[in-house]
Amino acid sequence: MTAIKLPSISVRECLVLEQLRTGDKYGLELVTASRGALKRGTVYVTLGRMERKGFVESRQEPLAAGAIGLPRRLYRATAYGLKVLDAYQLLREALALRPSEARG
Amino acid sequence: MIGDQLARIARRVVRDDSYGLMVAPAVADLQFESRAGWFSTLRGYLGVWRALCGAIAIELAADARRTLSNDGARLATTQTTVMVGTLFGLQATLFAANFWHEWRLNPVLMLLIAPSILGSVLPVGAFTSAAVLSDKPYAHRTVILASIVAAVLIFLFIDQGVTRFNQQFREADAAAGGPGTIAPGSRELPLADLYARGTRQDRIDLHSRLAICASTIGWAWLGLSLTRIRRRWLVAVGVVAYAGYIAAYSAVPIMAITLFRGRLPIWSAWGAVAVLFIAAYLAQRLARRRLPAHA
Repeated sequence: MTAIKLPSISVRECLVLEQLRTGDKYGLELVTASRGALKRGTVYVTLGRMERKGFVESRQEPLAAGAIGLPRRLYRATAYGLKVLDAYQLLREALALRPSEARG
Repeated sequence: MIGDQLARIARRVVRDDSYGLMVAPAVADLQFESRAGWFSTLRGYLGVWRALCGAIAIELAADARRTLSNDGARLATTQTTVMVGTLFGLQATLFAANFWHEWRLNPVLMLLIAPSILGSVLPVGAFTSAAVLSDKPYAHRTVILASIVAAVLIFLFIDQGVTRFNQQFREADAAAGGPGTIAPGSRELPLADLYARGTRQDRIDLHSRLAICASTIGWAWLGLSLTRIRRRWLVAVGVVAYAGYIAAYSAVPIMAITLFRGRLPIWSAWGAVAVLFIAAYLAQRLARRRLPAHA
């Protein structure tokens, strides 16, 4: 039998995908919208890991003429990322059943 | 602009893809928010540092995983393990042989010296491993990481293994008496005891042992860099120097040469290591410099 490697997703990654479900966001916007659940120091490490997993994709904001500094990066959830999120939410709900409900 | 210096440092420390995905966006945020005041700037700086630390941690974990999963690296790890295991085994065998009087012959006793010498020569094994692995896309980080682990293992070996087994052997040998007896007074002490006694000679011994371990990293770095140099004659010089070092260490009493004035300076312990690091640095400057992306 061929072993299927299931994708893993952390609570923080779920949170990021939840935020991105409503639309594209910058890293700082994700931090603000999460109300402290995501930290600005770790959000990009999380986003970087998610991009390597294929859960999110990003593009650089085009710099305005004459602007200096590094361009900011805008993030978007991929269809695959949202599918994994939905699957894990279903799993979590299923496992959260009380024993009496599960027996029924 | 604010954060540019930090971005330049980060670019040299982590790979391009990690920089682009994790550090550059944090720097962009820092620059974007710096207009909002000093508090936002401070938070932005902290954010960049945490992103940089996170990127380094992820890269190190990935390199360590590759080291353990790759066939070539596994081979190098096995070779090192076998080498260290053999040294321990040799010490243990000789110690056991001491209680078997038929085996108490001078050649066997002479073999006892071998681990002490090999403990000093062992770091150059990092050179070979580095050269073997150099064509792998993750060689640089893997070899440096492995050489740091090897340095710690060699330190434990020299400090605990050799001193303990040699001393037990000497005491047992002296108690048994007979030809080839090694005086228990000529002790090999672990670092803690050397530090506590604190005589000049003890300090030299202490520095020598630390220098031997540190040289592992220098050898690995030199091995990696030499294989990336395109000038053949430079590579040849490096290889000849490497072979010469092993030959000299085995054949010539180097410590006796440095003792020619009767007083061994402490810098002599680190002198050779310093030369090694300078050579590795120069070779690195001449080599093609760029960390490849993750395979």
